[in-house]
Amino acid sequence: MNDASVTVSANRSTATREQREPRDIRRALQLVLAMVWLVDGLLQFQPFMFTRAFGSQMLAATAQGNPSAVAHSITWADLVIGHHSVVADTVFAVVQILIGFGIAWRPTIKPALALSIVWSCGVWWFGEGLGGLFSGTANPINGAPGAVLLYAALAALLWPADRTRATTSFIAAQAVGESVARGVWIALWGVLGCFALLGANRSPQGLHQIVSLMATGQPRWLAGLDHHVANLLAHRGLGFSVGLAAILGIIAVGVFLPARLARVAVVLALVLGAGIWVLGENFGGIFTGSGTDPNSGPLLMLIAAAYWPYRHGSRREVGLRPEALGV
Amino acid sequence: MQGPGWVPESFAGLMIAVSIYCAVRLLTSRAFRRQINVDVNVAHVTMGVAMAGMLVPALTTLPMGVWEAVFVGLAGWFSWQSVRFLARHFGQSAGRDLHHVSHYLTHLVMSCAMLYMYLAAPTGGAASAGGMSMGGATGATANFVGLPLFFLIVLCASAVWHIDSLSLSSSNQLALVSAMGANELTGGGGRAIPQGQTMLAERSSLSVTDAPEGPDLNERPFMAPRLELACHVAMCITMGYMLILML
Repeated sequence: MNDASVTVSANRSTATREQREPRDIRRALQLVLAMVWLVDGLLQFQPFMFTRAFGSQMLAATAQGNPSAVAHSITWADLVIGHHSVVADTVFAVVQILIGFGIAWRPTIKPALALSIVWSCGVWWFGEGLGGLFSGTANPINGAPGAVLLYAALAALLWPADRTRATTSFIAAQAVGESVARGVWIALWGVLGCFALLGANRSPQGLHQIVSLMATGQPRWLAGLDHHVANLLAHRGLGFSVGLAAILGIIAVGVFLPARLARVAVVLALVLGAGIWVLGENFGGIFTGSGTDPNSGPLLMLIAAAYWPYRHGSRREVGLRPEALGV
Repeated sequence: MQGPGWVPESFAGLMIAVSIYCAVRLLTSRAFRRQINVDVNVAHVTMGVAMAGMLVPALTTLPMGVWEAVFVGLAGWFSWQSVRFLARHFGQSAGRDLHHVSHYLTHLVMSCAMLYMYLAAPTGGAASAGGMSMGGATGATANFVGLPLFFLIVLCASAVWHIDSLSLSSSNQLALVSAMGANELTGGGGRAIPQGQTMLAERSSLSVTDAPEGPDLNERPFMAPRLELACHVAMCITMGYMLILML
């Protein structure tokens, strides 16, 4: 082997080792996001999604309770989707798979994340009825403020650029800065805490009804779990809602606490996200044959992971290495 | 409930293309003096042919029992390779080990997923000929959804990981050009490119696991590693699609 080859080989080995650096956390989180988009795209290939019922019944149902202008736009769009269900669903599936591929493929990560933001906003409006924010049905247990909105938030937080060269405390701050990232965190978890206490959500049977309705169409073991949880929540809705709001509030302020306490808050967010995903969302209903995405649970966990405060050493490596930009 | 027929037909066509390509790799690698991972390519050929038959019953080639035996064998092979690799490399550099053992484990999961699909999918009228219809688990398997969900997550993670590997490979090649200059690349770089491919292989399923290391590796570069990665991604996506139909 000649000298040039040795040098280049050594350089490339170093580069590859750095690219594979296990602490390249942001890239890892981007890949997890890509994976979720990929699962979304594959779920769109379920036979139910190609039927007229997907658009004209399932999606159109999200119009209920929204302001009339919003409701009309949702109804119109979902009827169009229903009438052209095969073409529309194929487009949905392909776009989501392409977003997943695009995020995973480093040269196209920025266009893919940008597309994911635009796509998410469209789906949030026409597919999720603005997450039920205006219909009074939003509840952190069943996917508020709209799972797809969290995809957009993640795209922004994991954007492969460093807004500032200054050291940051967590991954989510690298692209948007610490103050904006903290604002996103407190807004997200604070709003979820507020939703837990709004309207029917704090009624004695509110949570019970949400969980018991989830059992329909689920596998036997999951339906059984739902019934147990629903029985536990029966007539205790107010207490559980207040407790849930308190936990969400603690998580919301956690990002302002010292690193050790912030980690506790992030762990709490991870556990709560997992709990919501399994008990409240039944894995996004993907076992029913009509689940379009894994819902908000995994995304809440992914967001929480992006706020994990890292130690000074790893912060320097993750925050300032060009390879960590993911480009 | 059945979706439009062109969806499974498209996936079946993709699998046939992958199978043919991997079969060609197996047949021609020696003639071109190129390295390939024989076990991976054999797995891709068998899985591609089997999945095409599952997606479109008219493409069924072997009875279900034979396919089940084949995938038990493949699962056993990759299990044994995983254990052997871990035993041989225990305590050595974790990074390389992780990539190499993940190569075996991913294909182990794929073999198990194929086995699961044959055991769990409802058989249609063509059952005697090995045909089966995709489109939802029934009966005893309907409540046994954790396993396909696990398979699905592993397959999607593997697909994403390999796409990332592909883009790393591209940037490595660009870095190589900028570092060496075009003359050196074309002149003395006859061995440099294969080394770049070896790096790609370290991260991807194209590991140099059982391949001879050192100078021999330089003499026999990998055969179209990016295409093999693309084949693997296609297999993962198609298998993921089939598993979702069975959730």
